[in-house]
Amino acid sequence: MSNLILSYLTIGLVNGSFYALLCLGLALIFGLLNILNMAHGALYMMGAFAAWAAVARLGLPYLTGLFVAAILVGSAGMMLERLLLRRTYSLDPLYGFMLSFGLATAIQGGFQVAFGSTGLPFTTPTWLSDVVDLGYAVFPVYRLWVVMVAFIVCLGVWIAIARTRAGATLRAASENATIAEALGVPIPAVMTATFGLGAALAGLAGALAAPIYQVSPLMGSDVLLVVFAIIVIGGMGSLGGTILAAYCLALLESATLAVFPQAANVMIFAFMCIVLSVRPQGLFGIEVLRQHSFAGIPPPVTATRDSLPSQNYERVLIMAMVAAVLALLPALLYPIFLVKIVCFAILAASFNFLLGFAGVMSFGQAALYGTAAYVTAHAMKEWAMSAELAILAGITAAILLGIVMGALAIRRRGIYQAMITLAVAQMVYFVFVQSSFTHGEDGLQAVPRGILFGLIDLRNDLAVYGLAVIAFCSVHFGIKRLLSSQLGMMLVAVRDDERRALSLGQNAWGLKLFAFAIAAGCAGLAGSLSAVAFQLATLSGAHWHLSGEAVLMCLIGGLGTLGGPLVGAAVLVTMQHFLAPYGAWVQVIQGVVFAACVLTFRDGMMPRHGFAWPSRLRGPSATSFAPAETLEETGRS
Amino acid sequence: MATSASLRAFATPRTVSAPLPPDPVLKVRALTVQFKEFVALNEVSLDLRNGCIHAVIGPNGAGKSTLFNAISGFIKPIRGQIELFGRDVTAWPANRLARLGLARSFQICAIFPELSVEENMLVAQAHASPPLRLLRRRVSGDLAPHSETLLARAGLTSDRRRQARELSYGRRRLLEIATTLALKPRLLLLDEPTSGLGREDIAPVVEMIADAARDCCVLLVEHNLKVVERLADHVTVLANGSVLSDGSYQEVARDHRVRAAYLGAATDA
Repeated sequence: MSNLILSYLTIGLVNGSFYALLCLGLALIFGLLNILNMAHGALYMMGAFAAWAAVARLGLPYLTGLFVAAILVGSAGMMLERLLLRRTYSLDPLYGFMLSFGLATAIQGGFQVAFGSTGLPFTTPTWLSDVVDLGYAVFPVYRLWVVMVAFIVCLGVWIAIARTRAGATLRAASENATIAEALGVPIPAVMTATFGLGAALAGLAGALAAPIYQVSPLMGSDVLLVVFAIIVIGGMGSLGGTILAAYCLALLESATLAVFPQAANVMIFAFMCIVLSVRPQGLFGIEVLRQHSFAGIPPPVTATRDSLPSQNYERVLIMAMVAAVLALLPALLYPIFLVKIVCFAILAASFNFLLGFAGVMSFGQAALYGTAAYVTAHAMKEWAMSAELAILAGITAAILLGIVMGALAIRRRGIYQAMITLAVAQMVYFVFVQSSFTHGEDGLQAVPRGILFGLIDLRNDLAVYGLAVIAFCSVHFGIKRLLSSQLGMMLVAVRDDERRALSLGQNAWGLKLFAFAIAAGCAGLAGSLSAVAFQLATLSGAHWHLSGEAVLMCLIGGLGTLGGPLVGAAVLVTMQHFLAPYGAWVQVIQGVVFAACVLTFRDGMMPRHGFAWPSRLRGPSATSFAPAETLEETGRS
Repeated sequence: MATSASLRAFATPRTVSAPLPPDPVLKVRALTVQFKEFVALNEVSLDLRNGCIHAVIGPNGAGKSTLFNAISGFIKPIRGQIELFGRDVTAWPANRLARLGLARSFQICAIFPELSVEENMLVAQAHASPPLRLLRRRVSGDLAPHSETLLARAGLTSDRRRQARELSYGRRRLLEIATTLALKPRLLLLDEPTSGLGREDIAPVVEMIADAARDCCVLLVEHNLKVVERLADHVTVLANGSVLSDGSYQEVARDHRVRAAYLGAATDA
């Protein structure tokens, strides 16, 4: 038995090696560039492909292949930084995050187009293909080689940063780029070099992973989320702590694999939740003191204004036109296609709401959507519940999950919150993958639609369309009302300056949780509606890529605008519909659109009349004033 | 100093109206705050008498802001006790303290930049609203008469619809103090209210503080000793996290230890 555990721990060391290399690169990039690099998984994948191309295609020796992979990916990273990411530095960090997500989508899509989704084999070099008897187990030499290389590289980078002049420059720049620049440090070059180093580390990790895992375009996508969870647990305050956390958590993961294999995927995420509840600042406890929170993002609040009578006429006229269009649309387009747009619009609206009112960029909305869809579908199919009750059950489930997610996320600030929502979403996804009631890859199919309130037969597509329109309108006008209410104002106050709001007697925690619950309710409504309309609940509905699409919809339509989600959803669903025959190209185009929106089209399609946005989101802020200190700075420990 | 003349005008005796809270209003006993190994506050005790403006002064790093943060619930002390209005409030969260009648300002001017001036005031009075009212549409009429008065006193009535970010720094300070006072506090904590202000901006702020002190007690951290001299009835000097001296401004100013640590250097300037 102890032999078994020892061999599992050795596997843990192998995984830990990859995690450590990825975490190190991610933390370096974040520390200096203030960008949470979503493309890190794609860089890892590129490393694997580069090694594969060098060794399997060009016939280079393995070691050269490793080297080539690191150099190539490093250079690619430097190019990405120079040409694209650099343009987001003057903006809110949120844009760098979104841009790197768009790039990751495009790159992964591109590799899928070129190489297909199935993995490519990569043979272990002969001189490493032996096995070795460790006393407790027979182990492939290659895995020990991975552990050794990764350890030496991590140690080397760590020492270089702690001891060398270049390292001191990097640390100074990470600490305070402005002062470092004033002292003559060429910050732009240091940034490019740092991103290159981070990318090279990811590339090396990918190249090392190639013989163990299959070389496939999506190999980096899920690893990235584990790495995020590790970073949340370990904190990015110290590089040593990050690396240590990576190894420890990999060991924990493999120990779980030995004892309770079903839980292995979830383990790190579950551990993250525990750490957040017990020790919010993370295990190695140094929250970076810089302000990473998205305070001052989309203030959706209109100044208190009295509407003029002429505006009222205008409003009625617009409403009448919208109603006419909504009534005519099903005659022109397939109703279920429209319902799909509406569902996605509500999902996007929930993301938009959370970003606007809580300043939280949530990549967890899809998990809420998926949960509601599963609950509604299960209730209708297995328990023969009526449609309205099943939808209510779905929404309730989403709200409960949303509150849990929120309670965890608000224990940290800024970009960490995005990571936490992502990690919780991934955990929920894995739970769905493992549970029997979801029927795995097949999903819940042929869900009966039933009769709404015993009156309206939902088997009629038009009735479903009507239901969807009503749902969207209630969400739309509900949010609109909140915008102009005192409560909305209080939410914005908490978002902008939590300490001040607290000192004015506001229950900041309660208000933030409230925002999460409302957003979760909306996402849940969208999910339940989708289960009824498409008679289907699948895993893809709970995957975080759907959250990414929700972000894209908001971005296309206009972040922080009321109409943005609907317009964005219409554009994206239409695009997906027409591009469907081209397979993986959808991903590429979506990613490119995403990146293009972030770089050139930040305002989206919807006019922002009445919804003033801070100049900061549109460009460098002209009026700068002292940033609010975060709670961490006052030493809450 | 240009402000001296205008300051003198406010050194009038104050009358405290409204039912008197118990005395002392704030009782801090042996408060100790520690960050990792660093002891920021060491056994600090302090009594705030009713109807007083009490100033806390001391060199940089003396622990003044830490004391404020501990009293207002933003830092949890490791030892010691805080009694507010006769209740033990040690380790209460900030928002609960605010509802009890403790209001504070921040060293770096804290307003809500994206909200309008009027809405900044609304946030301060919102905790008194019944929950259902919070869902109603906001209109100008929502501002309580008390808040209107404060807005007028701060000279911001005509700017009520402007976004707070558009105000000058001095006027933001005034807005911050006005929102703080909108809570109708019984105890007001002001963290360096005149820091970063130009000379011409100091007088209106001091005026508002003196005015506010008619209705509540004030605990003040201040570097500008001219302001302290004019406003404070009682002064506590902190140095290295401990109380160095305590008494009226004149008493404290005579204390040679204080002169050595702080006053000597500052008054020469």
